[in-house]
Parts: sequence; structure tokens; C-alpha cells
Amino acid sequence: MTAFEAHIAVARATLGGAFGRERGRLVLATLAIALGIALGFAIDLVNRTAIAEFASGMATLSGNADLEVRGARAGFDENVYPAVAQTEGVAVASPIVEIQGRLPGFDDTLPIFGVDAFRAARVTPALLGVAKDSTDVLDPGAIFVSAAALGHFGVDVGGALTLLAGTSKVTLRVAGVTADGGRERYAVMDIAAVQDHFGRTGMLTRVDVRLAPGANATSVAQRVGEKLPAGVVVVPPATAVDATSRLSRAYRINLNVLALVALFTGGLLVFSTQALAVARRRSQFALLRTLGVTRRRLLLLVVGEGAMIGAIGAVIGLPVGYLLAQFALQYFGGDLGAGFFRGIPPQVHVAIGAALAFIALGVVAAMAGSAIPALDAARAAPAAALKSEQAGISFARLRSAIPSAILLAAGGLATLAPPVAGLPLFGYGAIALLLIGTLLLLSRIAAWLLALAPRPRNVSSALALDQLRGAPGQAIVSLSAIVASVALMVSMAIMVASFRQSLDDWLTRVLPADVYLRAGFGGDTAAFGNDDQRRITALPGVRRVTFSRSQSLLLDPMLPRVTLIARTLDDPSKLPLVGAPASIKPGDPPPLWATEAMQDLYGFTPGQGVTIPLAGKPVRFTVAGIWRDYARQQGALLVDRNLFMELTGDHDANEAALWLAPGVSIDDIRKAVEADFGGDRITITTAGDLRRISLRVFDRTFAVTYALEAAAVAIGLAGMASSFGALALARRREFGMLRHLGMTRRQIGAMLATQGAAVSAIGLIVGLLLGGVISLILIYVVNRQSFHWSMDLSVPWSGLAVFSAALLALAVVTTLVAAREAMSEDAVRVVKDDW
Amino acid sequence: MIAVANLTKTFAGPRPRRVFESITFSIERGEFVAIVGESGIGKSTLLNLVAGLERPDSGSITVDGVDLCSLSDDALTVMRRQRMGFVFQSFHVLPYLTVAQNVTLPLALLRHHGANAQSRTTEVLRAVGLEDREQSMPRELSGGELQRVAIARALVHRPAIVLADEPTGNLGPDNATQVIALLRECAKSNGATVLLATHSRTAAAAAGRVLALSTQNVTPVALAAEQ
Repeated sequence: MTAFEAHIAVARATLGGAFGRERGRLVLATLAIALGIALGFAIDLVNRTAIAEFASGMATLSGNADLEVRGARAGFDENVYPAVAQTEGVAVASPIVEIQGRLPGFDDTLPIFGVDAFRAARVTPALLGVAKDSTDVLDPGAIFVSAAALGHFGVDVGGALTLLAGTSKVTLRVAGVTADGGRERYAVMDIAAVQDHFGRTGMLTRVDVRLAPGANATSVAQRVGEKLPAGVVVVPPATAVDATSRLSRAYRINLNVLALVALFTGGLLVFSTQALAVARRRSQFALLRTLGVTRRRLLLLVVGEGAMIGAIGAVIGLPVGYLLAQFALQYFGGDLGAGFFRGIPPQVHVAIGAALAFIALGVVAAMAGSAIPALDAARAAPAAALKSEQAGISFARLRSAIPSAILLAAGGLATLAPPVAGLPLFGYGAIALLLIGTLLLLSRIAAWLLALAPRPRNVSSALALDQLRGAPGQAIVSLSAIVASVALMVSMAIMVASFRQSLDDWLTRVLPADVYLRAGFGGDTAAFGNDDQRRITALPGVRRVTFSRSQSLLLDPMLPRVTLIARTLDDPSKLPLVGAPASIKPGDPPPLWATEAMQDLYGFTPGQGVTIPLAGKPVRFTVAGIWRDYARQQGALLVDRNLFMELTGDHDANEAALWLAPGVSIDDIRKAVEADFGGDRITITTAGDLRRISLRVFDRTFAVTYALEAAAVAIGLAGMASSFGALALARRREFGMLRHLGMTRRQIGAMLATQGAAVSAIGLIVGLLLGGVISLILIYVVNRQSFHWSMDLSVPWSGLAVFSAALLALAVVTTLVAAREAMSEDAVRVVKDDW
Repeated sequence: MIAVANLTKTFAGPRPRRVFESITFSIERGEFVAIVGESGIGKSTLLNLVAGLERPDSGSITVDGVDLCSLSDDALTVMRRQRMGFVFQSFHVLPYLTVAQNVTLPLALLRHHGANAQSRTTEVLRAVGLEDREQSMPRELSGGELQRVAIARALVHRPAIVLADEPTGNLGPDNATQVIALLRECAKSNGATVLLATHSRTAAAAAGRVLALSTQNVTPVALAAEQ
């Protein structure tokens, strides 16, 4: 026999037993790994697809530009253009005005680019119109629509296209399609026409720059930058992609982490299966050890089994993940309902590297799950194991509480660490450490809780508890998966409930009026002018009106734009302030209120002096306080509107808040607005509608996370049932003996049900407590560091009670079902060694 | 006490095997009877039938005048609980219970709790010589001690019948002799009838009556003790 054949013979002796006798449990563990991989891979694919599509769209619309001049979303003075064009090293500068147009009957907007066709032809070919008559590109009444937008909005070349912008309506002739739109939905017009039609006279939103051959981009950027007004920057076009993808990064990574929870639970299932398989094969391993198999080889064989489970699970999980990703893109979109990437077409982008990484993850998770049972198998003394009849689970190495204490302490310390690259990596680490530390302590916790329980008089219950007390290792095997999944489910439930309650409270504070009017659709470029504001104030039945103006400002080109809100601030104490406000001393710059995101991303603190670019000029403010804002993750600033008008001369408003006179209904206002402004020009919403819509978006966003958590709990429950079934089978001789002594099948069933209930109750208690601790980390560390907003703790007691009761009942039923094989064993057959 | 009449038992399967055919014998109250026979002859099956754990093809088994074949599974379970004790070859002592808790188990199944149950447990443990091991765990005991725990458990509820199948099979010669003597003495002092299935001539020799089992009949034999 060659050395290789000898290896194979030993492996067959080890694996044959495992795959023969543990087939059902191995299949379950493999499927759990497959599910974890499928969920993780699906979310990774969806995220990659969304980012790739977004980047591709941005690349199409940025063309060959080497640099891009941009500023506030509303734009900047067009005099910037000649200054840029004349800069040394600039070959071509292409001015662009971008607005968001809205078509009647559609909720989504159509980006419209006003371009200088002669310049754009050299920098951004996709922003050119293609028409039979080449003079159409200069026709102020002509628009060129991308093929994707034509299809989406149901518009034909040669037809008319009506667009709403601000409070005016413009009808244009569709003169042709854009040169190369790919899957992007957009339209192109002559730059002067856009400025005239949509009230952007004298404004640009972007200047694309191509460098002269041999010019150094950094030097040119520096020279251009020197000529730019405050709030306008010059950066490579990719910076915008980075900034936008950064906005969604925390959400995407949180989803990935949640998906990995399912894989973690799958790893715990492998642990349970392997622990039971090792316990069953203890004498078989002892025989192999006696015959000369080394500890190391035995260890590698058992870990190798885990690797096989992981590899098979990963190979099954990847195609399932691909299908899940396709389904998710089709039904939830590229952002899985969160609203970061609207309108991304569902076309999955597969990365081979990611697929290989997920295969590796599956193998590592399963190998990690096999590690402790493998060590247990390798360290068992062969002589004792050969004599032993009981297939007990010892985990001698887990008896020390020191590793758990170290892990728990490290987890506690990790919660204090700041984010890494804007991500709560230490927060995730803290959760993992607390989870593993608690799992390693499970047998101690179970023993302690069982010791507290009095010995029941009922013999079935008494035996049930005695058996559990006598087998502490069993608690780890049966409980690890369920504790982990319950803890994570509970923590998510508490976090989501806290978030929802805080959002609800916040909506109440930020929506004090009865009705809100919004100018057109399209953010900064749609506004109420002075005349509109006078007409709104004069609407019949309106008791009070306040107007607000929103602008998106670029404070840091590496970050998304922040929103500046100018509104009437009669009483700043009514803002949802977090912490104590700063007192503004006479002579200080005027006050400004910043959101928590501004505090985290830009370091704004109460009392601090900050400079904000307004109307192309740097303006000093004092941060008067920090407020909570769940609407703008990228950050927002609030200033008094009178001050804003004084500083900028901008008297426009994007939104009006209306307080109605007693007896006046929303329908009365809607009729009055329609009569005065027409049906499509103003969006009318009640505070109640806004609240409902916000909460609906919130629930949709968390639907995916609930699905992922439910998958983890299902795996945990399956794991518990599986290990319970295996343990019951291992005890069938005991049941046979008890039947001999006069115990009925019903009494044995009651004993197992009691054990199922007791084990589940321990799992629930530990899971609830651990989940409570993890929820605090999610609320105060992970969420704060990921999304830059705080929330107040709100525990959904009734929901948790229902969940606990349902899980307990389900656990008892599943354990009984799992144990039915052992219960149905013939009492004579199972003790036939003796009779 | 135990009357077996025209008992026939066949094991079903692809190749059905008839174990007994129309065997008849009886055992009086308080008797210590050993069943001997070659391996595979059906000694254990006969004990299972008497315990009500298996049903015969035909014939009858009556215990104190009650025909076991007429009882339901639950009634048979209750009868075993109240009237029978068992001693197994592999002891079958629950590893997670103390010695005392293992012994008390039949009393607990009969809902006998409190001081009486405790004193009866102590009494039986004293009788088997384990009064100082009440709180020990089974893992701390030798094979002989474990079988003594099993005997104590078989007798603690004062059963009318003790069924013991190869109780010395896992013990050395010295322990085997001690255990059989103990079983006989304890059964006698409790007034229990003992039916012992064994292939050990020494164990069988300790019985008051020895019956040799064959497929067709049960015949009394006289044995000389093994050397």
C-alpha cells in the first residue's frame, strides 16, 4: 500500500462513518452553509451591480473629461466658465447646466443636460443630440432624449415632450435621440435654451475639462481652483462616484454583515453536527489512534470534513445567490429598497473574485465550526474512549471561563473605538466578540440556570432537568445556533423599534404644519418666486404660512453635497436638538444649526465658528446646536431664512408649510391651489401623508433585514432540532430502559418536551439578554458610526413576548418531531445487547 | 404466579424464525428460577414475553391470574412499573443521576416521594452494600458496584417479579458470584419471584430451579456448579 493509499484508507475509515450515519444532519449543515453563502453572495452581487451601474452611468455622462468643475446643486455663476477655459493646460472646457425635469404623470425625474454642442462633442459625446437636421441641436425648442428614457416615458422622436420645472410648464419637440446613452435615462438640449426655459439664466452646474496633451492634471486643477469662487471645486469625475457610493456604503456593508450572520449560524450548525458526529465516533477514533493514526492527522481529518461541508455548501449557495440577486434586483431594485440608486436596471454583474471569496468564506466557516470538535477528538485519551459506551460531549477545553472573559472584555472595549474609514468595524467586532464569548460560556450559563430550577416532583420533568444538568456540553451543541440567531434577531428588533419610534417622534417635530406645498419636482432647481409666495399666503383658509429654501452645497468634494435649509426660525428650541445648544454672544457670527452627520463628518460642534459658501462667497457662522435629522444622511445645515435672504439675495422658496384655519380641509386647499397654479405644478402633501410615506419607506428598507434575520433564526431552530434529534437517538437505550421500568411513551415524550422547553428557554433567556446588549451596540455604535444619527432606546416588549412564546412553542414541537425516531424505537430492540 | 401455556413465538422477516413452539411451564411465588440454554435459543425473548414487552403468536402468559395478552400497551407498562423489576447485563444506570436517584427512579414513577421513599432507598442500598455511595455518580463506581445499584433499583419498589438477563455477563467471576448471591438474598427478603436468564452455570446453580429452554419445550435440569 502506498502512502497515498494509506491516507485514503484512514480517511475512508473516518469519513465513511460520518457520511454514513450522520447523513441527514450533514445535509442540513451543508444547506445552512449554502443558505448563508447564497444570501451573502446575493447581497454582494446586488451591491456590486448597483455601484457598477451607477459608475457606468456617471462615466457615460462624464465622457472623456479629465477634470470636472462643480459646486452647489443649484449651480454657480457662468462666468466661471471663461475663467476655466482660459486656464493654462486646459484644451477644452465644456459648460453644462443640469436640471431635473418632471413629466406629468411620472414620479421619477428626467435629468436634462444643457450643453454647448461644439464643446460637448470633444468631451462628452453621449451628451450630443443626433438629428437629421444638424441645426436642431441649437434649436431652443428641441430636446434629444436617450433611447432608455424614450422607452421609459413612452415618448417618440418627432413628438412633443412636456416638462415641469419650478412652477412653470414647458413643451418641447423631441428632435432625436442622444448619441450614446447606454441604459441611462436623460435628455440633452442647447445650454442657452435650458437656462431660458428653466430659469437658470447665468448659471452653470458643471464644467467638464479636457487637458492639453502633456498637461499635468494636478497642476491644472490647482490653477483652475485658484479661479473658482467659494463652494466650487475642481476634481476628477470619479470623485462624484466615490462620494455617492460612500453615501450608500454603510448601508451596503450593514446588509453584507447581516447576510454573513446567516453564514455564521450555518457555521454553528456545522459545529453542532460535527460535535455529535465526533461524540458518536469516539471509540472509532480511539481505535484509529490505537492503530497508529496521530492526533494531528485525526485533527486534520475532522477539520477536512468541515472543509468538504463548506465547499459543497458554497458550490450550492453561489448559483442560488445569483438567482436571489436577480430576483432582488427585479423586485427591490439595486438598493434593496433603501432609495440610494433609483432606476438602476436589473442586470447582475458577477465578479469571479467575489465568487471565489464566498467559496473561501463557506469553507472557512465550516472549518471553524469543525475546529473545536476536531480538537476534542484529537485530544481524547484512546484507552478511555475505547472503553466508554456513552457518546457524551465533553469539550474539556471549553471548561475554562478565561477565554470567554477575555473575549467579552475585548468586546466591551471595542465598543469604545471610533469608526475606521467611516465604518463601524470595531462595532461589528464587538458584536462578534460578545457573541463568541457568550457561546463559549453557554455550558456554564446553562448549568447555572438549571441549578436555579427546583427539582420537579413529576418524574418526567425531573429526569429531563437532571439529564440536562448532567450533560453541560450538550447545551453548547443544542443552543449555540439558536442563541446566536435569537440574539441577533432580538437586537435587530430592538434597534429597528427604537429607530422607528425615534423616526416617528422626529416626524412629529419636523412636520408641525397641516399641509406642505413643494414647488414642482426636482429639488434646488424648482422654486416658488416672490409672486408665487404672495399667492400662496393669500390662499383662502390658510391661517399661517412659512417658506423654506433648500440648497445642496459642496463642502468637501470627497463627500456628498450637504443640504442647507433656510427657514423661518421663530423658536429654535422646537428643533429636535441633541445635546445642549451653544449660547451665541453678541459679536459672534450668526447662528447655524447642524445635524449629527455634520458633527461626525465635518467635526461641527456647538459654539464652533464655521465657514459656509453662500452665493459664491465664504460666510462665517456659529454652530448654535446639533439637531437630529433622519432625512439627510449626508448632513444638513439650518439657518434663519431672513438671514439667508439678506446674505444671498435669494428670495425663492422650495417649500411652503401651511397651517389651516379651523374647518378648512385639505381638499379645500387642493382645490384652491389647483385653481391658482394648475394641477401639476405644485406637489401638495399633508403632514400625515408625509409621515405615512416616510414610515412605509422605513419598513420597506428593513424588510430585507427582517428576511435575513428570519433566515438566521430558521437555521438556528433547524440546528437545535437537528442536534436534539441526534442526542435523543444517542439516548435511545436510556429510553428503552425507562420503558422497561414502566415509563410510558407519553412520559418519555413529556420528558423530551420538557427538555426542549428548558433548552429553548435557556436559549431564549441568553439570546434575549445578549440581544439586548447587542442592540445597544447597534443603536449607539454601529448606527451612529454608519449613518450618523442617534436614536432613543425603545424596546418592543409585546413583540418580543410574542416572538419568545412562538419560538418556545416551535422549539418544543421541532424537538419532539426530531426526537420521534428515538421515541418510537422498540424498547426491546434498543437494549438487545443485553436481552 | 407466572403461568406460560402453549406459547409460540415467531420472528417475522424475509426469513421468519420460529423461536418456541407450544412451550408450557409455571413458576411459583418467591421462586428463584434460572433459564438456561444455548446462545440464541430465545432466553431473552422469553423474558421479554413475560415482561409484556413482546406479544406471542399464540398461547398465554398469566401473571397472578392476569392474561398479559389481554392487556393494552399502557396497561402492560403500568403492570411493569408496579409489579416488575429488571436487571440488565449492561447495568443501564443513568449517568446523570446519583446512585440514590437511580435507585429511587421506580418509586418516582409510582409517585412515591418523601421520607418513606428516601428511607426505602437507603434500606435497599444498605442491603446491596452501597449505603456510603448514595450521592456518588455512576462514573465513580466499578462494574460490580453498578450492577448492585441496578439490583437495588430492581427491588426498591418491592416488585413481585424480578427479571434478570445475564446480569453477570459484564462482570468478573468474583463480582458475578457476589451479585447473584445478592440478587437471591434481596429477592428472598422482599418476597420477589426471580426469573434469571443466563448461560453461566455458576449463576444458574444459585437458582432454586433451573429450566433448560429449547424450541419445543422447557425442561427442568440439575446442575453442578462450575469450577
